[in-house]
Amino acid sequence: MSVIRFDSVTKTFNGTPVLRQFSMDIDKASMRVLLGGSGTGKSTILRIVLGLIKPDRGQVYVLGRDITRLEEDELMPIREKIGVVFQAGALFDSLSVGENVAYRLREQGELSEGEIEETVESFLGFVGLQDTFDKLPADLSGGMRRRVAIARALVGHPEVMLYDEPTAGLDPITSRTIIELVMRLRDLREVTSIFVTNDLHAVHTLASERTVAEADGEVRFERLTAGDDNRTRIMMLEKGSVLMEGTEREFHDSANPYIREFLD
Amino acid sequence: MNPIYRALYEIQEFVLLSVKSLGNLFRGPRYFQDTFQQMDTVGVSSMTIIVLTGFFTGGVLALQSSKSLQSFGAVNLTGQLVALSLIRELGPVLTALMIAGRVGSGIASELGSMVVTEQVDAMRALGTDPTKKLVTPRMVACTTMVPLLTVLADLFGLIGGWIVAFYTLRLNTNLYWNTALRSVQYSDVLEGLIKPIVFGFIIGMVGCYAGLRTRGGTRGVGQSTTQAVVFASILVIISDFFLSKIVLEFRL
Repeated sequence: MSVIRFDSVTKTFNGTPVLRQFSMDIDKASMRVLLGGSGTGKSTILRIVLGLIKPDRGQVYVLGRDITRLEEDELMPIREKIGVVFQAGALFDSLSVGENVAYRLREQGELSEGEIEETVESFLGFVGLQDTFDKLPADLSGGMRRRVAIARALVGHPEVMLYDEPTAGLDPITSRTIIELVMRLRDLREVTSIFVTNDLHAVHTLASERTVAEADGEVRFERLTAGDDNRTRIMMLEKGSVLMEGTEREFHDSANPYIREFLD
Repeated sequence: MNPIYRALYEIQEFVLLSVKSLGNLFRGPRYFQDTFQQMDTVGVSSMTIIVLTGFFTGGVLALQSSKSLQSFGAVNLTGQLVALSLIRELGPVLTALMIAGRVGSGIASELGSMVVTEQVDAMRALGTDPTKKLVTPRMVACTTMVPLLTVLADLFGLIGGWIVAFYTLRLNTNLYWNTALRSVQYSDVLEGLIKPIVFGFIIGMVGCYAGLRTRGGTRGVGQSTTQAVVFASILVIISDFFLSKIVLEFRL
């Protein structure tokens, strides 16, 4: 069953088409990696999934519901099931790390302060940042800010995760830490996700590895072998249209000149 | 887009945001803590500049008017002139212009920075309506605090006028305060309080609108900040004319 579906979506900004007749179908617990140059509509797709912008034409279905023309108030229950990591984290700079992660819980007002604090600590622990609870986002490095953004997005246990270039500008070690978090969510929590990136190393890791939970609770990452269920598919965009969709192998084997240039 | 259509579109969007912001007063969730925090920023933090503005405006009013009044032998009426000018006109307008410069710009730059760093989008994605969390508390804070600051400006303006009248014009203290307070009618006080309520609403809404419409990074934030101050100041002066006209017509 598809969790996210775009049906011939068109979006224009100031007369410039950003998405043209764009269609996409993502099943539960799978990941779609969106690749493409600047202005090809990758981030626009994420914003449309969230309902932050509306398409000019076409239909968008998220978690089985047509969100194309929903009002802001009607979108709120759907957004509660979606987590998003923006390009630079988009943490609230006037709030501490703990307050950022607790934001959604405080807005919902269903838990006591003690329960909120406990939940926040467990999510910060998941991203390996237990000691940053009282720090301000300005005191963190770029990689730490993105990890806090992941923790914030995970509060409420989203069924869908959207990542907007979460590894851009990060060193390989920090980048790997973030990719491992993304893979854990995909493989262990079965979160459906869209991963926007131009980081080919990240694409390779996502498409060729999977997370395995050991009986003792330890988590390890192993390479996929032929015949394994590969939940990651790559979609290459050019000028708002799908240029290619398939596995990492198909992507690397493509003879399309734009993809060849992109890979080289 | 055609400049006329663009202007009409901006007016439409501004009106829609204002209506939505007012509508939020009757729909939850309500952000009382954010509202009190904004009241502190708008009100308490602006007290010093408002006290100084009011004090010296009252002083200069007494100084300037004394020359004209002397030629009619009516220097005794200095208190009356200072009181009426301040309460009906200068107190509300000068307070509003100072707040537009200090608070309107701050609101526009704060919200503008949040827009360009995607914090507003993140807020929406986390299930919060930014008009409820960001706009309505600022609108309420400006609408309630500008009238209070105007009262403060009026009070310190009268004190400034009295100091000039007493030490420079050698006017009797009782005479100054008697003419000042006796001349003020209920309708003058009402006019002096209605105007700042409208001005506060304008400053808050223009600041929020300019901030939320920010595009184009840090340069866009600068432009929004300038626009907020310019448009809020112009709208304050224009609305002051129409409010004065309405008040005079209906003899409020």
